[in-house]
Amino acid sequence: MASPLLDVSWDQCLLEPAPDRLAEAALRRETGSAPGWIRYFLSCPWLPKAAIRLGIDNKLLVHLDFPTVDLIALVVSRENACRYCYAVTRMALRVLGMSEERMQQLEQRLASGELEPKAAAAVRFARRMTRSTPLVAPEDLEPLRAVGFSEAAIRELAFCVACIAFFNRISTIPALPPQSWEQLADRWFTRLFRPVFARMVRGWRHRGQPTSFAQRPEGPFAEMLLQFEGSPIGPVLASTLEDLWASPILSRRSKALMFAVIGRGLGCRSSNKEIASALQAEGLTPDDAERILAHLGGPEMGADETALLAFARDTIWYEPIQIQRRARELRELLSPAQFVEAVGVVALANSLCRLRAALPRET
Amino acid sequence: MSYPYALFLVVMVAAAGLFAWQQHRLRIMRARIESSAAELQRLQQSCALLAPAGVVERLFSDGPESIAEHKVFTAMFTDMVGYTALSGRLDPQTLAGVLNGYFQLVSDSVVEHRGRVGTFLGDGILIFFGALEPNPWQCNDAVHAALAIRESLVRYNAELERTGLPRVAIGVGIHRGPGLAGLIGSRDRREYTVVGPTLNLAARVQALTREHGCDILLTESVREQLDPRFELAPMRAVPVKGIAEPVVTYAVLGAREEKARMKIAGTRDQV
Repeated sequence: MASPLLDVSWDQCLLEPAPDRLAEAALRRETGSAPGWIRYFLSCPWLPKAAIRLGIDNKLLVHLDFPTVDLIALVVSRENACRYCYAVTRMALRVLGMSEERMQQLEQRLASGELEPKAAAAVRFARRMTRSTPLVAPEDLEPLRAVGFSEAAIRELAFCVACIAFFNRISTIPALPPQSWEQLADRWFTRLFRPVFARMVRGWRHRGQPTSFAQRPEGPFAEMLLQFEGSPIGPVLASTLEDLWASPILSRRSKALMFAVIGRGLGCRSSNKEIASALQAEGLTPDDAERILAHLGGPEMGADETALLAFARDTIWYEPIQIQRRARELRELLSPAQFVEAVGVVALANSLCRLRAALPRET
Repeated sequence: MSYPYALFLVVMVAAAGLFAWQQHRLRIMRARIESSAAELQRLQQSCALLAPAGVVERLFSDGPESIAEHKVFTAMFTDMVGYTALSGRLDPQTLAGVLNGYFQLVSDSVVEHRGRVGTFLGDGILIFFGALEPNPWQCNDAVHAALAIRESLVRYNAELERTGLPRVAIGVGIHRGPGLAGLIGSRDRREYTVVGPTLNLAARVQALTREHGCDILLTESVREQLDPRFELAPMRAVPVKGIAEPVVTYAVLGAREEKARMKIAGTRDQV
């Protein structure tokens, strides 16, 4: 039986996998793994590193259980119409022992909302946060508390939604080919070696240990990162942001403006506040920033930077085939590394702005 | 066979039969539930084409009355100029073909600029920007869409002329203001739309395009939010039915070149 997202129109892949043994070996040393798909992103070093470290089954979760995470992955990927991530999650569940019949029942229950109360509350929250029309508000957390989620589990849940949304965008925007994942679960060798594969998948899943920041986070989204004090999520997000800002492929100003466009498009005041200091650090006065953001351009901006802002705006809400077409237009303007970095920036910005809105408490 | 054994056998056979019958009923019930769930899923997917996904979900969970909220949005009203004369000259099939081509080009331009076609009203089309999800750039989007319609119409007219058909002209009115977004209609038939005076003024401004001799007009509330790179020409204030003060409008001349969308060689290293 096929994935229910098979009807979603999907463009040809916009990226060429570029194997680089040295870079892959370095990543393996640093993060512990180097899966094949990172070859699409190796031209922008921080992105594959972030993608591996932000794998939600990779020692990041202390409170949330993996079945809930799998459910959230299905829901968020379906909301974002990400054929790639949906197929990967579906395949993992099949390999872990879920029959096609049970898989279909689960998908039907997700559609009809017939879930046990805790799962239903998590699913509703994940949908709200993914759609963000409008953004999640503090009262959206109340149903989660009512069914017994602790504050720490709620933060992890919000992080999971943001994280899956990040993977959805880095897969959907460059149209990574989903076909092999969509068919893998039904291949004879997958069925034959399913117990072995299941053992492998379970072996990749590790719970995290409480961790503190090596040093207090600063800069954009520091307020939000501090809410993950004690969780392994905080240091990983902090180092991902550090790597993003330090990367020389696109200018810091372009990246800060892309974050600001997404924060503005979502209507997230907290994100705008967090990013304002980064814009000022790049020499943009509040008036300059307002003028540029109000119309996504200005006389001081080049064609490429204007295109990046328009592209960032398009990634807030999209249909896969539309965003892939716009990404194809952007790719013509940029170098391959710039294009990959642009994809990474918009993916992370969309996730962090949504996460920031879901965790509004000021520290 | 003695009587107690025969009785036991009969009871066992009856129990087995009952059990098998119940299992059969259970299978039928399960199949019906699964079929209903699949049907519901298909229904939700179909409804998603008619209204935003969040609206569909609320419709299923809380009922149609729950879907109503006040929003500030940009309304665009387009109308075909000279439709009445055209309808008298063309046979029904040809007229339907011309109309469908016009509707398609307007829809394509609107969707490309993140708008939503609300309602087809005869040869007029009601369009919203920022009514479904927050859109701080809704006025720019609306004017970009109007310019895209103008550009597509040039190509469409060339196509019509090649086949010996008369040219089509349009009037577009754009206004920004508050309105009620929700599932609106009678008990039997509702649609997700926006209602309020903003739409009325957009329609009146569209009618002013004839008076001012231009194709795209917008109001002051749109101009205030608009990118200064659009070239506008102020029109004289005109009294409009239902509005106390004469309405100031601006004709849209065009937009300065959208450099960002152009392929400019040699700029890759600028970023």
